[in-house]
Amino acid sequence: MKLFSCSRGGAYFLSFAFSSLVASHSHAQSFNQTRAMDFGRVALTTYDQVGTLVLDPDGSYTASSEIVVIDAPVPARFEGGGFPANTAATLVVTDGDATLGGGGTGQVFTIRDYVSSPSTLVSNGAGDLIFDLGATLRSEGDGNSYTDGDYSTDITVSVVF
Amino acid sequence: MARNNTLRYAAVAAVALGLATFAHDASAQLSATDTGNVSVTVDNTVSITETTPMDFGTVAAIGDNGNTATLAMDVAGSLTPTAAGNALFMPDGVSTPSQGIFDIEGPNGATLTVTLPAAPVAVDCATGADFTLDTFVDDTGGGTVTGLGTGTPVTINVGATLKTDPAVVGTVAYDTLTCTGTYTMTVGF
Repeated sequence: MKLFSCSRGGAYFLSFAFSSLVASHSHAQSFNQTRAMDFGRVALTTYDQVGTLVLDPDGSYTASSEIVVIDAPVPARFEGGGFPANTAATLVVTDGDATLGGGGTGQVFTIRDYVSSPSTLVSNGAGDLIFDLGATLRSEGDGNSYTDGDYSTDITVSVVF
Repeated sequence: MARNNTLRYAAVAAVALGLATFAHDASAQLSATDTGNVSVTVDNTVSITETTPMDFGTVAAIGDNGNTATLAMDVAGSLTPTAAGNALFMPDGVSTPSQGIFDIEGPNGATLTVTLPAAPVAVDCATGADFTLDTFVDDTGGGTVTGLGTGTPVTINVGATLKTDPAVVGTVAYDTLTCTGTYTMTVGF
């Protein structure tokens, strides 16, 4: 009679290491001005009083008597993508002071009171966002004349989700 | 001895299971920024130049107390005299009257309002009775013109009505001399 004794013990360490999967979704984001804000061509009937030109984001405008609109103004447009889908965003825009040739000196047109369309910014299902931007232009009304020419400034436009 | 086929496997499987995750940092805000450009063009220049002064030519004129003779000039320079009592105007038919002619320059496409005097202006003679000038007319067709830009003038013709002085004493002939006056045309937005 053979006796078989077989015992085997062993420890098998099986380690299954699943490589951790870290999936991070990164969308290529873009955000650009696709149309600049242009208050058109104007004449000032007086330099002694502040004139205002209110440009709505739909392109309509209202000018005070101190400003005569010769060529109609055009609102800005901004477009972006790669944002979280269906998510509201806050619009942040810096004030602008337009000067002759953008040189930063001389008479100023202030650019303030921005208004967007849509008024509430929400990205769509694809994470895209498009909006138009209007503002109010004001002359200084300090008695100093405005030389004929192009006045301009840069503003910073941000959307925060 | 009982067969002991016992295989004992003490297997300790250490399984490290990595759970799939999406990096999502809910605490950080996502933002995007771009530079926008804002511009406006000022086009303010308006100029007015009289190229031909209004000239009623050479006329005979008689004033009469309580009566006013008129000499109306249209925008083409044609004269129409109208007597009243003993007061009258009589163009000599030799001299060449002319309407007032102005060149106006303003921003291309801009609507410019043309304004002439509403009240009479004086036409003074160095001696004797004076005249007045009123009822100004122009050929704008509504009091406005459209600017064509600097260097491209818009021409405006102006007429008016010359009148004798009804306050003269009796009936008097105007002195033979040149009588002059000025009037203001205003052009603006």
